[in-house]
Amino acid sequence: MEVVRDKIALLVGACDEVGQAIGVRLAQKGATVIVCDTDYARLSILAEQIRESGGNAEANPVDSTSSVDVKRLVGDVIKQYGKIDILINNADARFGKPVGDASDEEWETGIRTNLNPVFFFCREVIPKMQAQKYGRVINISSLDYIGWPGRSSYSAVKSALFGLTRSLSLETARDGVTVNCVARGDVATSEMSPELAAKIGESLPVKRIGRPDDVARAVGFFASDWSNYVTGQMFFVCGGKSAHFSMSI
Amino acid sequence: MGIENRVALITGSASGIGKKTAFRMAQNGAKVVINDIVADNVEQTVDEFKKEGLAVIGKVADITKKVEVDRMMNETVETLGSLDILVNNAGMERAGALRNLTEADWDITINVNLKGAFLCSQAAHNHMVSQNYGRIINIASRAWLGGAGQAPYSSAKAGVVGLTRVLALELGRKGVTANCVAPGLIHTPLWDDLPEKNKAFLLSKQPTGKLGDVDDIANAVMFLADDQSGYITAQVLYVCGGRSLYSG
Repeated sequence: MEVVRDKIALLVGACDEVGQAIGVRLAQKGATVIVCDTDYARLSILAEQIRESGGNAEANPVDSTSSVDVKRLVGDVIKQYGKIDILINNADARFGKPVGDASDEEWETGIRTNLNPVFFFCREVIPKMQAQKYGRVINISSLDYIGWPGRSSYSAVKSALFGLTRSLSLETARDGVTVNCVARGDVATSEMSPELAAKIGESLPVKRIGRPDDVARAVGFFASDWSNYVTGQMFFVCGGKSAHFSMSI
Repeated sequence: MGIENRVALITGSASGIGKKTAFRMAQNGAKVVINDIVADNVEQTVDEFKKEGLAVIGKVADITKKVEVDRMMNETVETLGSLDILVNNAGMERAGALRNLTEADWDITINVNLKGAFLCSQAAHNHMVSQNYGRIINIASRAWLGGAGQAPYSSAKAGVVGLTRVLALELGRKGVTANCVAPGLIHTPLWDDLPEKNKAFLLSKQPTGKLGDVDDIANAVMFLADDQSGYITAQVLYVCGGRSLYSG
């Protein structure tokens, strides 16, 4: 099946359960994964887990809201490995309030934590991918982009990823670089109660809630050479929930 | 894991995208069923696959006729024990300006692309639902977004996208997923036959500046057909080098 052998993958936002699953999967399929997030202790555990299961991984903490630190990290990786083939932008901070209750600070935090990191990493990494005539960028968005009451700010930043993805895909289309979005639907995490997971699952066409591996598997496709001719796309991993909505094309 | 030992029926698989998809699926361990309307084409393709040591049978059927479709599906299950993956690939196009298109152009394009997908899905879903497992992959086209001169084909492929969403909603609880792969410009024999002027025009609208390969479509189909893709349904996966970002 799809492989990413000998590829260097930069995984931003590696510490949540979806990020962990993506890291494990890419390593299983042959990539060296540089796992990035703010929490060095958790990153080290994840990198160790990946190495114990036979993969290659390195922990490199980063404040992805700081363009200076992002530049430093990308420089570190290039210095050590000489290239970055795959960039996964999974930094995600859910938030939401009725619009009348949301402060300036909450709005700006939403942009700073969900959108700025994607832009900063793309700005540093994509020109290097263009120069080497190869790259895979996967931005992890959310089905919430489609619009939810009480989550206007979060929907707005997740929609922005769509526009960013499309623009960057056109900008890089002739350089062997693909840029795609994987939009996750409902995914069960260890913090979620089994009752809530079952209730959400029952509301979905496939009658089960998603698992982090479901998202990781789709990311694996977009990160591999199986998706050479796929770019600029928003692809939903949501158990069919998107079929309950009208979709922008 | 994967598609190993799954029974996969690919309509219109004696040539082009369908044939390559069937070949790759067989190489990856699926038991494949080759279908075409012309018996000689089916026989020849089955022979080719067998020479490679692949698990394959052939079924001749006109997918626009319910009787033939039902017979094909029933015989497949009788022979191979199940029907796990259906790829609705058979398609054709009659293109032309609106004023020049005939009723026959419309009928045949809608029948092969849309009615065929409906009849095959309907016949397959009985088997899939009873085993609580199935993967339906419909080959749509980027052209469903609309293209001048493509009234019947765009309409039919838009219908295929709608059908896919309905199948996903109706069959999800039964372990059956339904998705579309929407190809853009793909290097097939049809492309080679085009006049150079047309090729240059089409490529000029292509963000990547390149054609896709039939393997790119086969990869996307196999990704969606995989056991592990159970949380992906009702989606359209464009394999078009970014061409879906523009209509027309």
